[in-house]
Amino acid sequence: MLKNLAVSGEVSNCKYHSMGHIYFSLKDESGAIPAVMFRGNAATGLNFKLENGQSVTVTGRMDVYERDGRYQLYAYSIEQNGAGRLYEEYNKLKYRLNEEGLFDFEFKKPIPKYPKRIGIVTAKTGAAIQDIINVAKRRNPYVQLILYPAKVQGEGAADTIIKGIKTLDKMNLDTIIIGRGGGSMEDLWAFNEEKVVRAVFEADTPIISGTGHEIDITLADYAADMRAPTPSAACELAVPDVMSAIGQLNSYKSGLDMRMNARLSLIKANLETYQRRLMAANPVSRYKEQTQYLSELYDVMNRSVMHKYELSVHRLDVLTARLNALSPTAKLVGGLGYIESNGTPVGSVCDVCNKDKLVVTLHDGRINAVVTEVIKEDE
Amino acid sequence: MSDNSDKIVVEEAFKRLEEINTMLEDPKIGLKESLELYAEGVKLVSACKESLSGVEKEIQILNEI
Repeated sequence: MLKNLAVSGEVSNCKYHSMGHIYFSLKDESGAIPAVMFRGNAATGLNFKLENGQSVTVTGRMDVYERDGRYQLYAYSIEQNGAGRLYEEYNKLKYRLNEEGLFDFEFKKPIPKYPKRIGIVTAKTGAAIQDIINVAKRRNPYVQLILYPAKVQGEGAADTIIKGIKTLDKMNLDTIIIGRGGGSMEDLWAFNEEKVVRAVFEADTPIISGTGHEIDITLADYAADMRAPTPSAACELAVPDVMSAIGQLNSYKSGLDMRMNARLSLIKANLETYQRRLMAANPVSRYKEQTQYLSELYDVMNRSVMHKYELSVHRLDVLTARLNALSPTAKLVGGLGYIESNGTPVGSVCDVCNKDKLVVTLHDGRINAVVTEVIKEDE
Repeated sequence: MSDNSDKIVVEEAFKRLEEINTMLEDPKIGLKESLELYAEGVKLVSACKESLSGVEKEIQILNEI
């Protein structure tokens, strides 16, 4: 019989029997053969859950199943091929490194919020680096990006990634981004290799990892201080939007100006009010005010005195005229005169004697005369 | 990590600027103090701007090894 055969194919019609045996078919493009794995073999030769569609390599023997009279593959062990095997390795390593604490939150380093220099480990050509450059330039054109060109898939990729992390880690940068664009699990495999995961964990610089697309999470992602779904998202996390920070600063500045101006104009207004009040109470201005008042009073007084004086002069003129009209000398016309002797009016001939000197006053002067004769007439 | 101090300066400056703006609205703060606060604020703003911006940088590519 055919013993120790290795047959590769895709699993189909897979059934786990209640007894613990597993029945399935192994098919390829040309055909299919029925297969069975007994419980005893399954315990030692199978370390994953067999499912339809898996690509596997079955080691076992070919024998005739007597009841049906046809060949059947009796499996001793089954291994997953390709991606399936990688996935298995991934899970085992993930479990082990997680147990070891490499993914523990307590080891995560904070990502600097305002970095100046950022290292990047990725391929020199490709979408990832272009995306990172574009995002960084848009968000903060002042940040210095330093690229370590690494091989991100295939033979030797893990070693260049590790070299890149170590080189950049020594450069005293703020943050390191590691990443690559999307791809199959094989393409991303370098980021699942234990030595890469350890290099990420051991770096002193905070590492942001963005590998593959949203759904792909590599072990490097778990070990990184921060995980981003894609390389450009990693860059967004690494490079904060400085333009908005500057906008925020500008608004703080205008807030300061506005508040200070409001305060100053209030103080200025108060000052002007106080100044006006002070001016009102100022003794010099009060003195000036009173002086002015005084001179006004003086003027008023002068004017009224003058008026009174003029009135009096006028009245005097009028009275003088009237008085003149009434003057006794005014009557001494037409031969009438006023006679005095020794300063006394002569009212009678008896008042004078012969040779007495007389003064006769007429309306236009006086006559000095001497008495030559006194004639008394009888009444 | 290079100058971690920068991170502290910018983030703390933002906090301080918030405080200063609030205090400048407080009528109990005197003129002298408010002028000092204003001067501090303006200084912080320019220091932050200086720290955040600068000359635009081109990407530097390390030699492949």
